[in-house]
This record gives sequence, structure tokens and C-alpha cells, in this order.
Amino acid sequence: MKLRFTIEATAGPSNGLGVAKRAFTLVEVLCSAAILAILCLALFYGLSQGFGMTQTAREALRATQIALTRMEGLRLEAWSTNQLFNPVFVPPNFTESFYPLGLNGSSSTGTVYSGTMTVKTGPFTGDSLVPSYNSNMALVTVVVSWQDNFYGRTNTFARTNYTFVAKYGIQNYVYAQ
Amino acid sequence: MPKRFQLSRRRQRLQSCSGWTLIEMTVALFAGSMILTAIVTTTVFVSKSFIAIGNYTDLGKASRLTLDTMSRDIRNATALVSYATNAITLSNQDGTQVTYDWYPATSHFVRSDSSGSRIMLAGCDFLNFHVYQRNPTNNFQFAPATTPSQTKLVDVSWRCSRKILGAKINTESVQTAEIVIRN
Repeated sequence: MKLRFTIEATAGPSNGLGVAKRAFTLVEVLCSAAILAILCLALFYGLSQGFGMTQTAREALRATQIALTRMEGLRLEAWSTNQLFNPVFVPPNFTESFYPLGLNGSSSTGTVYSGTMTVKTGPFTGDSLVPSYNSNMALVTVVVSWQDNFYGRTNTFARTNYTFVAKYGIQNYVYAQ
Repeated sequence: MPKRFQLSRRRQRLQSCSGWTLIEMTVALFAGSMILTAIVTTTVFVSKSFIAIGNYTDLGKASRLTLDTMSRDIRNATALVSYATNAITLSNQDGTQVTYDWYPATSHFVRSDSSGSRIMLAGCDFLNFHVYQRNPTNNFQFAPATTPSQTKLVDVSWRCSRKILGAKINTESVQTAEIVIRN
């Protein structure tokens, strides 16, 4: 009994049942706090990266929509009456916004997109597989570029879309009706 | 010695039963509340973030499917039968009709044909159709169609959103398109 009492007295405060109570040391607390901080940082960094990628994907989808809209409208620009190659009808530069006017439910238009649209007629050279009728086709290139600002970083993006317009395609017979 | 041992042990029991001082209690309460607040805030933020990212993906998927289906229907149509800012009806090559309706009360965008109806978009807050004639004007614009039979170009735009904990925050999908009828 004497020996046991001595051990309890030197080991620290007792709960009266012969088991000594020990707290964490400062080193243990600091180590656990550092590990917790690293885990939290990783979690928030992952989340912010997820948001950034989602936002970029949304902006890229909108850029693709803008390019497709321009290319779809081309189907009604007549080749024969020189609308397709007229910059008054098909302007080489244009500007769009992420939220078309009124679509956001507010006056905010969001990210601004700058676009270029070039219409180049054949003949196209440099490829042995170019078909013989290529001089009756026009290559349309639509480039849409934009910038976003995510957590203080400015990133520049661009999407390029191509399509062909045929001289005797839909726009010719539709407009001639 | 046995007597000394008993006295010392009683003192120890008394010490172990003693409560916290006011300062200890105040510090513990403060530290506990700070930790609890941090845990709750982090949990709510992380949950909202995961829901928002999931909503973005879900809304984007539904919007793409809807636009692909509607583009196919409009391009294949022989003519536009009827038009309103929230609805269009198209006639197909086989004589059947397909209708797209937006119902503001339920926020549903529905596609209907001879085989039945299908909700294409849920949570659709805004949708608008515009129709244009075949002849283009300056600056890539088109003359508005006054009758369905004049229509050659259909312009559609919509905005869908989802709620997170009862609030519509940063979970929306915007879609715009112009589609030419290839008849």
C-alpha cells in the first residue's frame, strides 16, 4: 500500500481510484493542430478549385452557345447577293455577355465575350484530300474569347469553332424564295 | 503510517471532487463556443458548396439535353404551326406535331408529342421564344416574323435555378440559342 501511494503521488493528480490523469503535452497539441490546419486547407482549396472549374465550364459553355448562334444565323445569309461576305451583314467583330439582357433578372450582364468571325472562300490548298468543289464553299471561323477573375487571378480563355457554308446551300434557296 | 495514509487519501478524494473555478469555466465555455461555431460554419459552407456544384452539373446536363432535343425538332420541322412567347408548336414530316410549353406557375418546360408529355426542365424561372423571318438585315439581325408561316429562325433563351437551404444562391443555368428551320 505504501508503494502504491508513492507512485500515485508522483505520477500526478489522482481520481482516487488509482488511475492517474494525464493531459496532452504541448507538442502533441501543436502537432494535432497543424495536421487539422493542413486538412482544412486542403478541403477549402479543393472546394475553391471545384468552384473555379465549374465557373470556367459554365463560361466555356456560354462561349460555345455564342459561337453556335453565330454559325446558325449564317445559314440565312445569302451567298449570291453577297450578304455572306459583306461586313455590314456579317460583322467581323462582335461582343456578347454571359447574361443576355434581362435574362439574369437584373441589369448585370456578367462576363463579357469578344468575338471575331471570318468567312474565307475556297479554293483551299495544302491538303491532297480537298474536294474538287471546294471553290464553292466558304470556311467560317468563329473565335470567342473572354476573361474571368477568380480569387484575384485573371485568366484568359478562347474557344474556336469552324464550319463550312456551301454556295448552293440552304441560304441560297431560302433567300431566293 | 496507516493513519497518515488514510488522511492523505481523504484529502485526495476531496480534491478530485472539487469543481472548476469561474475563470476555468469561462475559458472553457469561450473555447468550446469558438470551436463549435467553427465546426458548424465549416459544415454549412462545405455542404452548400457540394450542393451548388452538384446543382450546376445537374442543371447543365438538363439544359444541354433540352437544347439538343429542341434543335433536332426545330431543324426537322416542316413549319411552325403556332407561336407564343412561352410556347411553340411545330409540324413534322410525318404529319404529327410537337409542342414546347413553359408553365411559369410550376416552372416546368414540357415537350409534348403524339407519344405523350415529358418535363424537360424543372425549376425554369424564365423562358422566352422569339421568331424571325428568313431575310437578314444589317449587323447579323433578322426581321421579326408576324405570323408562324413566316418563321424561319427560332430564338430561345431560358434561365433555370435551384435552391440551397431555401435560397437561390449561385445555382443557375443560362441557355440561349438560335435555330434555323431547314425546310
